[in-house]
Amino acid sequence: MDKVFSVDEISDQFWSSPQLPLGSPGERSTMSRSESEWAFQRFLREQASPKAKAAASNSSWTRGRVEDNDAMEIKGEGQIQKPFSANNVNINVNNNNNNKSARESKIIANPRALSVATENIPVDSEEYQAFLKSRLNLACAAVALSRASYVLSQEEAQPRSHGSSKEGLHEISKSQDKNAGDGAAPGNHSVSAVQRKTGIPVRSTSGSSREQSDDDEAEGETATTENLDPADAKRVRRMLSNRESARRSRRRKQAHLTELETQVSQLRAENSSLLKQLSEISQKFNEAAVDNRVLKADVETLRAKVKMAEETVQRLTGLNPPFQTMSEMPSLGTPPFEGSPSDASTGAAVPVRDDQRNHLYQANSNSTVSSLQRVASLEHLQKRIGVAHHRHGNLKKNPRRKEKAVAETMEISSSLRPRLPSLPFCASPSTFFSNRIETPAVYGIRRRRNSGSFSRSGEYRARRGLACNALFGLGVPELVVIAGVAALVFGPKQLPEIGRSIGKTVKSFQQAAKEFESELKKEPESITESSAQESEADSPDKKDESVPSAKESA
Amino acid sequence: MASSSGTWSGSMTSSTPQNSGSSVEVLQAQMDERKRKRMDSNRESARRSRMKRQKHLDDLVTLVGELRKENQQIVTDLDTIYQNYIRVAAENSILQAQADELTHWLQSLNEIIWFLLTNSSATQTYSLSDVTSILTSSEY
Repeated sequence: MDKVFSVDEISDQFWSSPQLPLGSPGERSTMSRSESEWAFQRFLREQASPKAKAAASNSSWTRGRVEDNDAMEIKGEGQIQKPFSANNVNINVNNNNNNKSARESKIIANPRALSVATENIPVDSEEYQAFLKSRLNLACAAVALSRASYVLSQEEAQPRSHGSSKEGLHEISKSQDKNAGDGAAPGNHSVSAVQRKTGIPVRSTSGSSREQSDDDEAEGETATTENLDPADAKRVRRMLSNRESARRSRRRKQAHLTELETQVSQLRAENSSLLKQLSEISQKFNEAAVDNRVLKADVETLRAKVKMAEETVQRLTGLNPPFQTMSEMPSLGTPPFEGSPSDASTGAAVPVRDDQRNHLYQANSNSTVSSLQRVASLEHLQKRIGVAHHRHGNLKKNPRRKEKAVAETMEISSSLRPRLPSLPFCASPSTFFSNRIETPAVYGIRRRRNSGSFSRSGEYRARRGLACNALFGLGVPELVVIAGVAALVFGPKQLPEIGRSIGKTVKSFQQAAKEFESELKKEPESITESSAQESEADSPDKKDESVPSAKESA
Repeated sequence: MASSSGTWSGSMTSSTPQNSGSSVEVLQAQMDERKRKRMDSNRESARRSRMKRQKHLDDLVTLVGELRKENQQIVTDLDTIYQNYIRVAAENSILQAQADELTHWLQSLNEIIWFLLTNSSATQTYSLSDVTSILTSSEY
């Protein structure tokens, strides 16, 4: 107990009045890292030297085992505390020595120890160093012994002292925390177990060791070697676990780094491939765009050419083919191009075409019997074209149909071409007649649509022919011929009279016809028939009378 | 020992002791100096290497982010261009079909014209200029 108090006092004294040449504790702390470590390492190195070691160890251990170790413990405590604090070992020792020398009187402890301390201060540097080493060893041993004593003796004062010593150590350790990472390696080979203990608790103790302090008592010695106390064992274990965790974290960090590297390389490769794809597709797109523009231009030119060709064909042939130009690109379903506008526009050319067609037919249909057949086929073709013209079918179909029709015409024309020069004149009447036969049928189909004026006489005749159909097959030319003959027969002077009479008869005849029709609709048939018969009887009679009268007059 | 303590303190101030109390002490002080300097330089180099490592790591992280972003951008660009390309290719095919049809039609018309001209040359009264103009227009 006395020891305890004395230790405390001395330690307090030491802590309270540090007399260091360096002055501020800040400087001390900054220099602590290097200096204390360096001092410790130097100390260790010096320990390694056999000379000092032997001397020191011998002296220390012998001293440590001295029963009068009260003062040693005190000294040891002080010495231990100092070196692992912000102060250099040597300086501390110096200070301790100085302090000791200064406070020898203050120390309540055994004066013998003090005298021993003072006596042991060497003069030479080497001896002094050895002395220092011995001191350190003593201190370590003292600490170990004190700890052992504390653990073994289970007095009330122990926890306090233990705690205090622990606290002191904690303070030391806290100040030494910075040194822990870079400081002297814990695995000091030449250092004694005691020294290692002192080194280890310094490094491994952290804030949690304070928590452990209470437990250390309760726990007995661990399964470690005899040298390690349970507290130290804990610390050792903690240090080891810390090392392990540090190792793990380092490994994780390395793995992360490598993963990032691989990711970077992967992304770079992907990047390059994507860029290549992009360039390819953009090139293709550009080419397609160029082709697009070219094709559009081609389509436009083709349309223009087709238009011109169609016009020339219309000009050349009498046909009014239903040219339905293809629609613009965006909409294929544009309304079909009706033939009427083209027909109207080319109305002036129609007679030419008709004549041409007539001539064509004349040329084509020769004296041979087959000419009629071919003409019939042409007529059939014309009908088809007319049908196609009437129909407003699908745009795409029509060109093909037109093409077929035109192809047929071409074929026919080509087949008939060799017959061109043969006997045009002989064939003329037949053709003429055949023409006559044809034209009404054809024109009957087509001319209903035409509203254009016709300049040529042929057209006029043709038109008249339509109107004259109703007059029992007698066309206007036929009537004119008959009138001419009558005039020759009756004489020119009686022509007006004949004309009047004929007109009257015609008028009466027309009136009779109208009456006949009306009577047919309103009254019973018998009356109408009778009236009709009467009118009919009258009209021919009138006619006959007029004619013979005309004859008689002539 | 005031002198010894003085020497020690002098050595601790990182300056060669002026009081050569003992040559060994001076040498040791010098050695201490060198050791201290080496330790300092080591510490500095360690710090530098740590910083370099950290910087490398950060650079990698940023690089990864940038590459990812760039990749995404390229993918979107690729998609849009691909869409456009498909559209234009379709238009192209349509135009090609139209062009083919028009050429066929034109060919047939030209043939008609040719046949008509050659057929009715004996009976028609086309001037030479007309015929030539028609032929040139029909591109024969």
